[in-house]
Amino acid sequence: MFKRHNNIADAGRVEIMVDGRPVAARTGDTVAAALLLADVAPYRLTALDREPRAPFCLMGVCFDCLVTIDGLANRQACLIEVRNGMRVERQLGLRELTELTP
Amino acid sequence: MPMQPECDVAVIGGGLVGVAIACGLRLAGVNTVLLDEGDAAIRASRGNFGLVWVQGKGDLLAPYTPWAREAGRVWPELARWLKEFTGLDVGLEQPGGVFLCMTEDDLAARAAQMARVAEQSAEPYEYEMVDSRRLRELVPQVGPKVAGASYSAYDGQANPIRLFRALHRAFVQLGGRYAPNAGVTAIERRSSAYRLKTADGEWTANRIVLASGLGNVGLGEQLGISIPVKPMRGQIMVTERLPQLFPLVMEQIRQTDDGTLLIGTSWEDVGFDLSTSYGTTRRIARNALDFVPMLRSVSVVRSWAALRILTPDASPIYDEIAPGAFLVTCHSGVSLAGNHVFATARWIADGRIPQNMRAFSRARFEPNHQERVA
Repeated sequence: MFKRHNNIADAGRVEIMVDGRPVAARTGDTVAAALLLADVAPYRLTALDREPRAPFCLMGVCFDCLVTIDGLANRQACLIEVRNGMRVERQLGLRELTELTP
Repeated sequence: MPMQPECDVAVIGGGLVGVAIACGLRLAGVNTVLLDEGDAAIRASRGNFGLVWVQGKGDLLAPYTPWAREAGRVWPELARWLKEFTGLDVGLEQPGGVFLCMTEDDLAARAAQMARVAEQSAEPYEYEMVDSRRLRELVPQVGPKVAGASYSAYDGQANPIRLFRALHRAFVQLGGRYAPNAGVTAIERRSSAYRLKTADGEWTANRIVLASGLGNVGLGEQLGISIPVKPMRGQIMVTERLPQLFPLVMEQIRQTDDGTLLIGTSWEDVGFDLSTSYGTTRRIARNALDFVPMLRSVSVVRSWAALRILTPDASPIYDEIAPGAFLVTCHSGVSLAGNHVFATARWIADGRIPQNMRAFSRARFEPNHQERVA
């Protein structure tokens, strides 16, 4: 559905893991852009009503692009650039919180 | 010429206390207007933590203990009525609550306070002081540094913003007249009525209810009465939404029905300063991590400060401060909401505060009060 414009030929290639599967991206892509280009759907489900959502504003205000990045939940994917080997998990509903006290 | 509508009772202040009483007056069939300030009002109802709390109340004013217990008992009826009448679920839960004590000293002080409350109580008062191990059986997420807690089955929580909205909706549905942007600037006593100047015209009323929180001080002055309330700032931090975590309600960390955590607790005597501060939020956050270590990986998404409306004994005032002028002030507008709808409004409808509520009058703060009673 989404297509890359202004393809910069020499942009570096990176690979991120999305829900455990490799997704190709380019240096400078935001995580949100990488997921949209990879047609990841549903992008996320809302915390309470589990309604499908996708990045909307792509500039840090709508909070509809939230994902878990390297274990940290509710990160704004539109503000974070991809790094090689980055682990991204979609949030389908509420984030989890399982760690109990020692 | 501004219009001068007649009404039987004018409730001054559209916060949780005022709107609860206004609802109760309409339930009793009283012709009522609710005079509210605009959006810029200092409004404790917007910053409320949302506990429906009983334990510990009344240690400085014994009659507050049964009043708070009664409030806990009528809350389910209030929630049921609001759901049926307005369609809004105010999220009441009463699974019991714990007041966490970080140190052994905190725990000892809390034990003494609870013992005092229980001893003063005419009816059986059930609570339990629990040590660290027992506490973690009750709430497994509590950290090992916490010395213990007081536990009572009476406590719970509700969604204060939805309660606020539901009461306002109920009042209007009951035929009450709501006047926004009508902050009262002057009160004038006529022969048998009160004339109220507001930012949006004048009203006359046979009786008035002062329910303006900290604004009551200025309103009282209009009537020549000094009202001993002052602001006490509380700061609250809010986390991202999480799955429902806790089997009980904690006084210091509460989870809303929408999943966010509200984290308190601070008491700051800073006048009308509504700002949040780095030092206090940092302390609250550090304490929260000791209380519930698993919050380490949880993000705070916003914070706010609100001003509690505090009397010297942290208990409500119910008083008729001039003929037909009733004062209602408390710092527990959520906990006491059911009482205000179903009982306090009745007193005002009847035109008198019952004898057994005399202990809540402002006379208790006057010098030599004890001597005069004795």
